[in-house]
Amino acid sequence: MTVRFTINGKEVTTVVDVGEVLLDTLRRLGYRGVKSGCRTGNCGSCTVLLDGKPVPSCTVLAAQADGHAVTTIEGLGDDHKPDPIQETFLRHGAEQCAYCMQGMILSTRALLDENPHPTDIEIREGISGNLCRCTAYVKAIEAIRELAGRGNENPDPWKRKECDEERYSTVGACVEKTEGIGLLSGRAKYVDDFQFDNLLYGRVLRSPHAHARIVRIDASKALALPGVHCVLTHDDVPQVPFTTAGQNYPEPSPYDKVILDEKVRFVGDRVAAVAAETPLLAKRACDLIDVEYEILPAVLDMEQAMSEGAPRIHEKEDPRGIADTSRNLAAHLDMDIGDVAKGFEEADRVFETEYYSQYVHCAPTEPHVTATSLDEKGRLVIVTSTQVPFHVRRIVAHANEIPVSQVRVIKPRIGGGFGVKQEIMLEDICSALTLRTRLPVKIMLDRDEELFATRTRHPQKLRVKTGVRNDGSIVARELDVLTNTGAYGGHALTVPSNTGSKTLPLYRTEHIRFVNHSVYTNLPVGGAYRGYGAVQGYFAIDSQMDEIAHEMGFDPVDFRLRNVIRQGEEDPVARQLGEGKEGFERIIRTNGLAECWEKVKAVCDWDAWQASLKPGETGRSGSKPWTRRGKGMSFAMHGTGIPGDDMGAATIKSNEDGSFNLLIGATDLGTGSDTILGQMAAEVLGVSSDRILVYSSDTDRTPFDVGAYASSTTYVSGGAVVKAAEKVRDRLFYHASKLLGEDASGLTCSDNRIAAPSGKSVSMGDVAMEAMYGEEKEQVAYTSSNITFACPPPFAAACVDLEVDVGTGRVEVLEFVCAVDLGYAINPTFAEGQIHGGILQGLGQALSEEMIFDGKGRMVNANLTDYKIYSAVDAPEIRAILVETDEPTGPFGAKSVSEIPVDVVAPAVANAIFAATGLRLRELPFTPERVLAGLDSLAGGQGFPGSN
Amino acid sequence: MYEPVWRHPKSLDEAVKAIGDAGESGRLIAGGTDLAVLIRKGVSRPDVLVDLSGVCGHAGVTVADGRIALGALATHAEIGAHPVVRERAGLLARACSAVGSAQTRSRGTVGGNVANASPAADSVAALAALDGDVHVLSVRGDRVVPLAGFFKGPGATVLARDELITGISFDLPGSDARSYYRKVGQRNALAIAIVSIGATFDPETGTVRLAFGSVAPTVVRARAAEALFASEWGTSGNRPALVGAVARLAAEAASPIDDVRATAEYRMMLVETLAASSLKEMCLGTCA
Repeated sequence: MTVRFTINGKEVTTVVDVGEVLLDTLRRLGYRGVKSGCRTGNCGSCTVLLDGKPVPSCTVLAAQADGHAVTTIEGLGDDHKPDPIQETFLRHGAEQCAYCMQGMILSTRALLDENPHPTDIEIREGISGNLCRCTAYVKAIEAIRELAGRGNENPDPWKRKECDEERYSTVGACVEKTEGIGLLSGRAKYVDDFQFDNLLYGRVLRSPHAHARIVRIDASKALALPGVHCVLTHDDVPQVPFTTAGQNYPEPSPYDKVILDEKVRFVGDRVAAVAAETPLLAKRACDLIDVEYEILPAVLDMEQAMSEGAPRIHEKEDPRGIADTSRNLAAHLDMDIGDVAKGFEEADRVFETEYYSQYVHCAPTEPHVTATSLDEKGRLVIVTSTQVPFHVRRIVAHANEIPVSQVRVIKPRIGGGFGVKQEIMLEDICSALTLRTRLPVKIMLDRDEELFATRTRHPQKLRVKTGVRNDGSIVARELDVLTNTGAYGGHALTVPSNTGSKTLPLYRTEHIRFVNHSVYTNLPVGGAYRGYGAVQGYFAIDSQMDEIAHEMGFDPVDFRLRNVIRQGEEDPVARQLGEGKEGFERIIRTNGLAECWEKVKAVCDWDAWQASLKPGETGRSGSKPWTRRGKGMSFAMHGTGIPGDDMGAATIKSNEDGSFNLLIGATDLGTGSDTILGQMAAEVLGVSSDRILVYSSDTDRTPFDVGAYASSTTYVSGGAVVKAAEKVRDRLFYHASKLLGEDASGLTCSDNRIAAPSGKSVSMGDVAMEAMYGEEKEQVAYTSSNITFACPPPFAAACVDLEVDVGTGRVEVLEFVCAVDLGYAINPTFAEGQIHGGILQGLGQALSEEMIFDGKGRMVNANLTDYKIYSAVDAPEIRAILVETDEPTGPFGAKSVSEIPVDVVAPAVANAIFAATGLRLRELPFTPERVLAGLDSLAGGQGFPGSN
Repeated sequence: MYEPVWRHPKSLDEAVKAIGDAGESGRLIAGGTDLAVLIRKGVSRPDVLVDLSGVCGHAGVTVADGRIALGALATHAEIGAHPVVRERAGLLARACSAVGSAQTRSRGTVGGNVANASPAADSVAALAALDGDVHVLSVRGDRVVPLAGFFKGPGATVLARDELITGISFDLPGSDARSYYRKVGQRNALAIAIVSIGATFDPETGTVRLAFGSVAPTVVRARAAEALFASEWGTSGNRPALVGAVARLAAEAASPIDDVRATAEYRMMLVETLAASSLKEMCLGTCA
């Protein structure tokens, strides 16, 4: 049917299918700022204004918009004249990946049009339909407060106002994102926004069974459908084993996967792949593929995976990297320092408790999406939402048996990653479809596929045994972990390795034993997720620290601080437990944990709260008669890059006007690393940050980088940028010395000029012109790469203030305060954003998120209605504090910041629930139901006091 | 290709005729917050879609003759913001403000929420406690169905294929009447209720009404508990004890199931707790 409506004030007439939703119509018409995130009206990424009211355009049929006025983000200003909302959001650093931001900005526009002076609650309500996975909404709310004529009510009292002018001119400043206005105006291109001629839409047929062999597969009916170009089954693709884990070569993960297999190992595993002319046609083709399965007994419980007679999930002989296929053992770790048995004998008290960390998902707002095509030379070009473009190139080439030289990978803007995009999820199969059809193919996962068929945080069962002396020193600790890696073993060795290596050094312990078994099950597959094993480990260890303190009558803070690893000490674990192999010496050169705690303590009034507790009473009464209030704290340390493994490289070349191209392999997922690395180059070269033109993550045009994982980019890739910039600078000094008639060795650069001690100076542009057009005619350009062995740990301290509703079991977080010693903040705004987002993801894991399966291994909450990511009305006040300790090994003193915030959350929340109620929870997440059941059993089934 | 017939009536008469003509596979669409998603997924494929958005005089909230009347096309946002609803029927305003997010509230309609017949529908628990009536129209004429008899099960109502809802109305509660609404979900926004409660108390007559969502195939009223309250409130010497007894009895109205959001056992615990909280707050003035 024909519909007529106005879009951004312009009359538009278009023919639509009656079943077409407005989201698809608008994107088809070129309004690609409207993003698709869930297609069920839950995430709000596709929000537009319909007659001025915000609506998710996936829940409106285009036909319903007939005769109405639609406003998209494109109608709200542009880079010449941004809307005040866009400008203010940008200034506050409200955006990270920004996939959700176009929608959030439109919701804000509607809110402010109706109510120019909203309260905080009204602001949160107004944007509650726009789920953001990166930011915790803190800076967006600050920006809207400013738009409403109010200031920031909770500033960080220690925050640097501007950059440290004494030391640096660009580094340390809150520089806005280089691509910021593009991101906030809907013009930045994500994978789904690229246009191709003759594009086919790919789709994967997924297994309905947890464990089955494909006996027969017949695609003839699907292929008979007009518009279906190709169906691939295991007979059509190379049977080359690989791992989907995007790690350095040789990957420490087992090669237990092929593009398409004759066996399926979890509900959602690949059976076949289709390429067709429309998404709907691809779906129908999948439905028409006739598959006969031999259903095999499934392992759905990690405890049973290694038992006698359990079905074998991987059967191939001698696969690379699997510890023991006969016992479904993907990976095994065993480490001893000293003699724990002796240590437990020496201890005055021994504590042994067990913890469980559940299946959770990164759930970025942009699902995985990949577009593959052949360029004019017949080379495969992969545009993909990845954290690891160079690993994608290598692994796709290997799996498809083509040379690396025939593959180019481009990562455009991507809508969040958090680990799940460190995984080759679509690139291999989408490439296979393009190689077969010779046509461009795009696959974008549906939200349910994203949740059940990609990668998860590995569930773990952790038993911690700790021996303590009466003086509060820790003699021995044993951490025994059972890790569920699901159907495939990506990161099955390295995630649990980090469970030990990131957590065990935090509290000095004479005797340490660490054991891990990673088992295969017929459930979704574990992978990388921010925190990478440490989150599970800290939940166990820092919960138990509280339990020990309580049992032995120690102050929980004093007990921790007494045992914390000190500056100058060596981490005893690092040498033994590296990235799936032996590690390297690790000296703690900076440790700001005590300062972190001092600041957290001051902000959250810890001492006053402790003093207010009545003797003999647990917690304090809350804001209602049926609530109890409590505060809990926790500490953590993490890593910065993978020592001896991570490598980043940067190329810098000078242009004739004194600008520079910075080409980096590093991958900005929304964190702002493009901007941060640009700041570093600007600092070394003495130019303003707008003179650095950053281009990243293109395997043809940028030098190698392992990618964005292991909290490495600022530190590892930043180191490469500094090295390359120093070489370029020194070479420009040489050319400048000719113009100035001065010796090159004394020159300095700042404010876009190169100056001599005599006071004479020349502009950077003139120097570049001299280099290029002077007698010597040289393109000044250098490439440097950087690796590191130091892996300096950031430290964090946190305190959470919460209330437990003893009638319903609901936990309401009032405030979360977290300080991170990050060495030095290259961009304080972005660093705070990392802390905010990490805390909110941690709160999801602690309280509301869990992938739930039925008795057949099917995920029953694979949607954003029942997989509960926090909205703006759920997120508490989150306060981030930056502590700077000037790490000597880092560029400008920086260490990492992005993962550690997640580590502190679950133990702090568990400790606060205990402080409020006396209930110790050791199984995540703390759902209302679990809390209420716990409270009830605490009260001997009589109902917790105050519950009724 | 899926190409249903699209009808866009401009008046109630036209709408009634359009749905009457559509036959078995016709569907009405108002806000479309549920239906549009199902159509795109291919789960719902009606042959005829009757779009109600152009029907005038079918929206908004009116207060007249001691009744509050909600047009079927009144959005949750409108109802939640209406001053009389907020003052006299606070539970309904709170229930409408608990629906989804700002986006769904500005799009979704109360008629759609009722017609959808979800046992978890936020507005319905409140409307049930207000003893609402559903106004229904077809070419055959109009009729009024008490909300209590409107639902047959999840997604099923007494509406005939050719009928549409024109509105929902209820008695304007007195100025001293009190009400309570609460939804327990795992998240504050975009959450489907684990259990919800809508409750009213009329101090003049000494009666309460208690309605629960998500604890049975339809929203349910705790009639036995209401009766116990009505018979004993006026004469009770120990009102706190009476409130406890009424809350316990209210739980018997629930017959919940286990689902992805919670177990039946947890829901049973919540029903009693929420009933007790509501009664304490409305009738005893404690815990407000």
